[in-house]
Amino acid sequence: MKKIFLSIFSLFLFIGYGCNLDQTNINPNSPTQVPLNTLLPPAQAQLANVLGGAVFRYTNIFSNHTRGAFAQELDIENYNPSKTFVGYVWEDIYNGPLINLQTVIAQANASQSPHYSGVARVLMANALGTTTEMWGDIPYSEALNKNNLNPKYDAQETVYNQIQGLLDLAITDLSATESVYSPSSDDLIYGGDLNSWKRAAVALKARYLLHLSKRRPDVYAQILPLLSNGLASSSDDMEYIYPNTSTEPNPIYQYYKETPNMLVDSYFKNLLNDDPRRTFLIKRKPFSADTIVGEYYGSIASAVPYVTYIEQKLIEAECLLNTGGNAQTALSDAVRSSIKKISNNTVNDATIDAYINTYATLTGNTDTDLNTIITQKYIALFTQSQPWVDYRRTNLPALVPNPNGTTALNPNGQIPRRMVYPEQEELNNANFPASAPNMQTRFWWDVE
Amino acid sequence: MGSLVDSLRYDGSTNSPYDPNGNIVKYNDPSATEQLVVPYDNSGNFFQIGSTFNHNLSIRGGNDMATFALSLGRVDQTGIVPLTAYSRTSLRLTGDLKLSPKIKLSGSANYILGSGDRAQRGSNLSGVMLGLMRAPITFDLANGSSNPVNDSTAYQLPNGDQRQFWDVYDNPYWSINKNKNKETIDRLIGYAEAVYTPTEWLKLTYRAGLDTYSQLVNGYWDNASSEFGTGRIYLQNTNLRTFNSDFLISLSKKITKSFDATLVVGHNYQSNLRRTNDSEGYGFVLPNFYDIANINTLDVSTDDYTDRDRLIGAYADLTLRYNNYLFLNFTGRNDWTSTLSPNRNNFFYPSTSIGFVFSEAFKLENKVFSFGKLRASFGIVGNGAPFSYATGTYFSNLGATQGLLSYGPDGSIADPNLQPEKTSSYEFGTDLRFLQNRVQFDITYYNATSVGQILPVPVAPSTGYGSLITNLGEVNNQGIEATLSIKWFDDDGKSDRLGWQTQFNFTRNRNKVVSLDGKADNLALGNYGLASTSSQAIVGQPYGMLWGSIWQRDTNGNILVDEQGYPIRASNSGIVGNPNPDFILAINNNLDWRGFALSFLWDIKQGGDMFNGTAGVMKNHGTHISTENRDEEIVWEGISQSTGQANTIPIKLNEQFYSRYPLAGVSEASIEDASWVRLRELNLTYNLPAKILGKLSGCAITLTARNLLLFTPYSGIDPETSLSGAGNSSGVDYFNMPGTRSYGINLKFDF
Repeated sequence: MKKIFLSIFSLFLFIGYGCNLDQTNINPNSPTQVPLNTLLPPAQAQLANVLGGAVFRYTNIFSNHTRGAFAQELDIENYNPSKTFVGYVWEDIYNGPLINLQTVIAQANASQSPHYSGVARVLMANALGTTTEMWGDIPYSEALNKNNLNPKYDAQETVYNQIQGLLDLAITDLSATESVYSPSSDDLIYGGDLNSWKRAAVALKARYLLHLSKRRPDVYAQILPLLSNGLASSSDDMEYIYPNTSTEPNPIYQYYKETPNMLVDSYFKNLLNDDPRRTFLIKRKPFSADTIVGEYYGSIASAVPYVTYIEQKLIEAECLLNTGGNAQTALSDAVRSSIKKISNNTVNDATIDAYINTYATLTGNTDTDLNTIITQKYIALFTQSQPWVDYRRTNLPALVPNPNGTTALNPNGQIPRRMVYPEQEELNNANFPASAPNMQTRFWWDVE
Repeated sequence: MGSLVDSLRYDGSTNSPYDPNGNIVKYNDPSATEQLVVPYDNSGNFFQIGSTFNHNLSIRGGNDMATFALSLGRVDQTGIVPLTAYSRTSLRLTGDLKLSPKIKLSGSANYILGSGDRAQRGSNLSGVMLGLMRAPITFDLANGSSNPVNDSTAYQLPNGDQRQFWDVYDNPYWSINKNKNKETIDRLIGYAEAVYTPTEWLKLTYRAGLDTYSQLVNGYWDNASSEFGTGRIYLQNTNLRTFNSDFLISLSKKITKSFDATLVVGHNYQSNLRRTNDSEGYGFVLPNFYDIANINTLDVSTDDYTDRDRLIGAYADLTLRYNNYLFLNFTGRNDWTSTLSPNRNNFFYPSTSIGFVFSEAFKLENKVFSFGKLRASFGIVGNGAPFSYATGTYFSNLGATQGLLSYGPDGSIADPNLQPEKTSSYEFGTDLRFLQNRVQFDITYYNATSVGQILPVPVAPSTGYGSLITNLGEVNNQGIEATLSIKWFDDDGKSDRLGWQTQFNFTRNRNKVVSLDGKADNLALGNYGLASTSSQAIVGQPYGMLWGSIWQRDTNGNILVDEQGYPIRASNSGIVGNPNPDFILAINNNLDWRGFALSFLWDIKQGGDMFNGTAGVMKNHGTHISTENRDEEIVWEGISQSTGQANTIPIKLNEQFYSRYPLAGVSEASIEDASWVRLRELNLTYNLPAKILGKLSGCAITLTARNLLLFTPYSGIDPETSLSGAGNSSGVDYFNMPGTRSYGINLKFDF
């Protein structure tokens, strides 16, 4: 009997003390360290997903490209978005590409791999630029740090300086002769071609300088000399091409599969009446009179652009126009490249020439010529965020606000000039701005 | 939306996907026929009467040395949603054996096999309630079919596309056929125990218990279903093993004639291990073949996950008893948990209680007063983290990016300095009985304060992270629990006398978030994927307050109205309701007369708010009954924002009104009182008299009904509902499945 008891007792001793409690709490499912080539690919995809996802939906409704018809998109259409939903966009940026790019930069610095930090800084500049062009003052210098739960908001002017600083540093990094690790096939944008990254950095420098045109009219002259080092043709475009798989579909394609609450606005549709790009940019929804995003931007494997040669050429045209130069070549080149690219080279030169002749020929009148350039940019950069920026800079093209758009968030009912800040920040960040702006409060570069 | 139904006609076209009678046109349209558009009762036609068959067989036997019991059970259920079913088979064997007068062994094993076919529900876009309640009454979801469940013309167009009203919500007949969720579970629960009693005052007990199951979930959505847009299948295989071991040394000694003491010293070990294997794939290649092998390998991903924790405890429990009327108890326990850092993973917590039977001590028993006891207790309970791996920093797998392994920093910030959670509580109570125990009254007041709950607290997204795992705040719960039972008449079992007994159960709880340690003012407890309304912990408020969009008000609390006469939605969210009830009262009656037994249970819940998101969305879609008034002009009661005067501008509560506000409306406007009085259960049993039973030793027939009557001010289907299921937040109705009323008959034979 004692033997039985003793054996039971020893079993209990074994069970009680034979286990190591701290080993038990080491997570066997997740690593504590990962290499750079596992961090870069998702950061690139996340930025493309947010640009083609939430950023596309908000900015293109505001720019009259699309019209929210239902549910949350109808709230955006009525300039009355839920601050919680706005927070989801913010989360998609800060909890997605920004924190991951910050991690790449820190890890690349620690491992003396400037080629990785260079690539990450270009992407970071793009992500920050997208955030500040929507919200104005944003957290950056104290953000993306788990030891500071209340990051302060940097003034927009500072953010634009930081963006230029990131891009300059990126160009230096990318020119480094030594780098312990260098991106290759894990760079899903340029496959590790550092020169392409440098050209994209220049194009982004031009874009984010141009944003300041109302505040600093000298940016036109500042931009022009940069462009010779920029993107050389559409084949240089910085874009994310989606693989043809159901698990990683293009976000616009995904959107129309799941929640097609947004249609093409008649304002944009009418601009395309004579346009050879029309059938590629927009299409009829099956069994319906509604128009939605077409195959060029809305297929399962469509690309999401970060910055393109076409945009850079249109920036060049605007700068030339404003500095007394001849902008026609740059404009024609941009429109030709856009038609060729969007139509996959299926439109012949005669049609392109005829289109340029009617719609993209400058007259010498600066006002109408600016309208021509910005309108072409408006068409060419469909689904992207820049036309809303251009409208706020130039009041062009003459967009039509939603007549039901007078709300507490948008007091005068005009086209919104910025996003409201998210509720998630207001609730959880002690450094949230005391007087929260509405959608008509102009931020720093948006001078009256 | 817009036109009144009685102004609509069919155009008589024979190939309309909208309706077999043709497309719907206005009465004055050239193509209009004479045929009136008649509303369809989609919900009434969709649901069916469910059924449950329950069979049980028990056998017991044994002798002085050994006993055993074997029971077999089988449940077969069909649901109120067509093509849903559930079944369960269980087998249980228990037995004990006296090896010697000093050693007793016992054990039990219970095997359960369950399987279910479920429908999609809730805020999932394929949920049957969404497709059902959001379609307009002029759209026949069944497309004129008499058997839409099994007739694909109801839900599928000739070209293979889904026949649905809204692109975003599935036709419910499509959903039940094309989107399935099947689950099987094999579960074994058992224990083995050995008791050794070497002498009268010493007892050694060892008990080991095991609960282990293997669960296989297989869910899929067709390529043309709304929720994923591309079709999806997932397989999840979960293996769980919970092991629990206790070793107890129990010493019991009569110290004097009137004083005895019992001391139990014990050791406890618990381990939980859960291993999950997930596979999922997007986009079926061949139609109507829902197998993961029918998906391109690039679109398939797999993951496994191991979750484990362990706890070791040592405890002592001392009970002192004096003369059967004074009881004192002291306990102390020290735990070591794997869920906290090694330098903080052990914690001690004590408790003490006293019980005093004053009726016995002072010899107070008489014909009126039968028994009286007072009791009081104080105790602390400690806990480790409620989830594992909360103290380390890791990278999260982000799935593959174009086939490349992808990682990013984990979205929650870990804290290696987490402390154990502690709840301290005290309670007082009394148990009083009168009239030879015919009237019994028991009341307890309790007060419990929890500090340092470990939970993920949302952080500003600009930190780059989503949450911080931390010890947080102080929550107080206090309340009263009381029962009163009255035996009106005794039934002696033989005569014609009626037996009648009533029991009242009253509970009233008040909770309050005392502090969140200054780390947050509000803490979201869950928003179920709904942007409009969430449950929150807010300092100074009861736990789980409903938080959502509100009307803009002036300083006097009047709603502000804009220049067009529409009330203005505030840009900020605010408190919209308190889901916690004022009290709950259950009244159970048992009547016996001869072989008949009747019992009925009334259930009363007073107070507690519910967010009726279902009604909010249906108003937005114009499918809610209240939108029948869409052509009436009303003047919203409020103050004009521009003039500061009372609003006088008339508006209509039509599409222009509802589309100004979010999909589910302004949360504040959809808050309703979810009080209820319900007849929860009614049972009538007849025990057949022994003389007609022959060899049977007993036979009973029971008629049973649940949820027979419901009285409530709530406008939805049933206020007893929760989107999150049993969780730590409640009060949200969002296309939840309706509650059910059931009737049954139960036969029981004893041999």
